[in-house]
Amino acid sequence: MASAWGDASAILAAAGIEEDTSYYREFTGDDEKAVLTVAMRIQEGWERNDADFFADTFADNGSLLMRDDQLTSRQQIREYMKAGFEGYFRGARVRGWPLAVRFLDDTTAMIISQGGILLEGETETAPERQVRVTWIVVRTGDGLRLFSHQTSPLKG
Amino acid sequence: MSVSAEDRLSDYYGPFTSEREKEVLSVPLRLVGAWAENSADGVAEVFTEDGILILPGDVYKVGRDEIRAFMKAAYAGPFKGSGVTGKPVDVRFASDSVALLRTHGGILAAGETEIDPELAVRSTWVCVKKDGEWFLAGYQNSPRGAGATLRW
Repeated sequence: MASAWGDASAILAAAGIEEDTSYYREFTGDDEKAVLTVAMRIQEGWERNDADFFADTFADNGSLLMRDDQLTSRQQIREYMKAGFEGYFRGARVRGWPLAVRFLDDTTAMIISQGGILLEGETETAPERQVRVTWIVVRTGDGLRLFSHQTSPLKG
Repeated sequence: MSVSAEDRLSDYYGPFTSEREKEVLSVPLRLVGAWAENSADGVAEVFTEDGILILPGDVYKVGRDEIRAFMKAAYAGPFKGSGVTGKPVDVRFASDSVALLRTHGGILAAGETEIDPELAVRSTWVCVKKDGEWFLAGYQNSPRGAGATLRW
């Protein structure tokens, strides 16, 4: 039976992302892979420095903590990232890998990941920018969306 | 003049006064209560059996047993006599049985009533309802204010 969360390969193909199966690590169940496409879509949004691609991965009322700014809607996220990609985040990418994937109920999942940002020209995440992340993913009539993203620095 | 417990509770809830919001907001209250007693068992029991705790400083604990052991060591050392405080700034439901709370708060060093700005945090509480009661599936905090450095 097909996963209620969708087919990871199909989701990625629809988003124009080449599937990197190493990203899944040990989370290779159909549901787990589908949920992880949300993190891969966000990573792709960074790769392209595309604020619309990035923001459209969020739910309407999705939320994102960036530094000390708590953003609480897709529109706020779009505007923030648009300014970011035109400024300080120009050329920045992110890398990460899943530590845990949990299904909280039929329509809500949680990913814990580790990773961080690479500013333009950097080849690895600076130690002070390494983070752990909580992602909340929701299953909507319109596919999987990111409901919340927050990072905590590993150091601190 | 003393402030009544009821006033303190009403101040804590702020604008989040619906029954279902108040129900979820019992989760931080239980954690604050357990912390006030420096009870590692009490803190662990606010989490689900496989709940996850993430703190700056490379703390990643999975499950009640790891959380209990971490808190026990912390209450014997760096957190001895400390308390925690926090106030909700956002309550949103992902579904009927999953809610996200955001609070501003932090650790109160022993004897303190105000949070040292360096210890101020933004917390996310991933709450799930099981058998009619809310538990923490995940808790994470991040520095607030000057400590919120560039990261993703």
